[in-house]
Amino acid sequence: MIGRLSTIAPDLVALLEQQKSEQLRRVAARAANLAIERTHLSEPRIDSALAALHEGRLGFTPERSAVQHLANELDEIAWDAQEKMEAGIGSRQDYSMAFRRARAAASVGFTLDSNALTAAFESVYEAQAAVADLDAVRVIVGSGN
Amino acid sequence: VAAADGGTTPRDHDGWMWDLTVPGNNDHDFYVQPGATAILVHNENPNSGCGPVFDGVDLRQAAGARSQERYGAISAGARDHVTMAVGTGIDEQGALRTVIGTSEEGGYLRPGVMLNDGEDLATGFGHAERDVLDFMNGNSIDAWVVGATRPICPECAAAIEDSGAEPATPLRGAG
Repeated sequence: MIGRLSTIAPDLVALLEQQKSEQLRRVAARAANLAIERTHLSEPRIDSALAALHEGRLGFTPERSAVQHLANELDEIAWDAQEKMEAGIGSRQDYSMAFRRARAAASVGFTLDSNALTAAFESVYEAQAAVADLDAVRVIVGSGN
Repeated sequence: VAAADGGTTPRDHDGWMWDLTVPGNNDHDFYVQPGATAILVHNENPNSGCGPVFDGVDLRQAAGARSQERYGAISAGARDHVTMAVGTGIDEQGALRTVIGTSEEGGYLRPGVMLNDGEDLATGFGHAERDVLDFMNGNSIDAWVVGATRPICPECAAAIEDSGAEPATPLRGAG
């Protein structure tokens, strides 16, 4: 089976698999931060999740649950924008921005996964979907070493 | 497996001919042995529910089943919004290829969605079925069947028909 990150960048999967837990955590956090910066996502639940990450509160925490709810809310906004776009009453830009903000929130949520490798794989995947800039994400993964 | 050479137009021939009756429960796959090598014959009947066969696999059934798997992999909250498509066809080397597409930007896959080894991901921006067909067209893959996790819209149904493929899953509005 091919995981999500492997479908777009199997080289990054190989690179991440060689990294230690603390490096993986750093990569996940940097990828998520890149995503929220590029999408200009500002929301209290993001701040709380990043604070939990900074303090090492990982796993199924209230902060993680809250930021996943935020990602779901942003997904609903994106799907609504997509339907409007397809009906000819909305723009592709509106859909794309909403979709990318949802991906940025999802990226933050995955940083809190209790498994460091899963956190890195999933945060990096969501971040590249948020920024549509695989090269920028490659730099971050490379910086983990 | 060779393509059938017609079969619907009666032809006049001299010599012996036989009417074949194939025993079984409405079987339409059987072997004939004109020489040393047996040949698998598949009688495709549009009303029989079977699809084109490659290497003994009913591609319509296979694409339909894979679409159903994709549906199961998408979280419940996203199923009504995200379409995933599965296309199967034959490439220039004669190999069976499976291409997966999604209605989300850049070929984004929902958490938990994975591809099987050897499957290709069609990235695009729009309808998953058409992204799959575009990928197949761009990679010289002859599309045979295309299925999806949600009913196929009229525009995608037309694109599938135009490509020479057939839908593997229900069309929107079909009874």
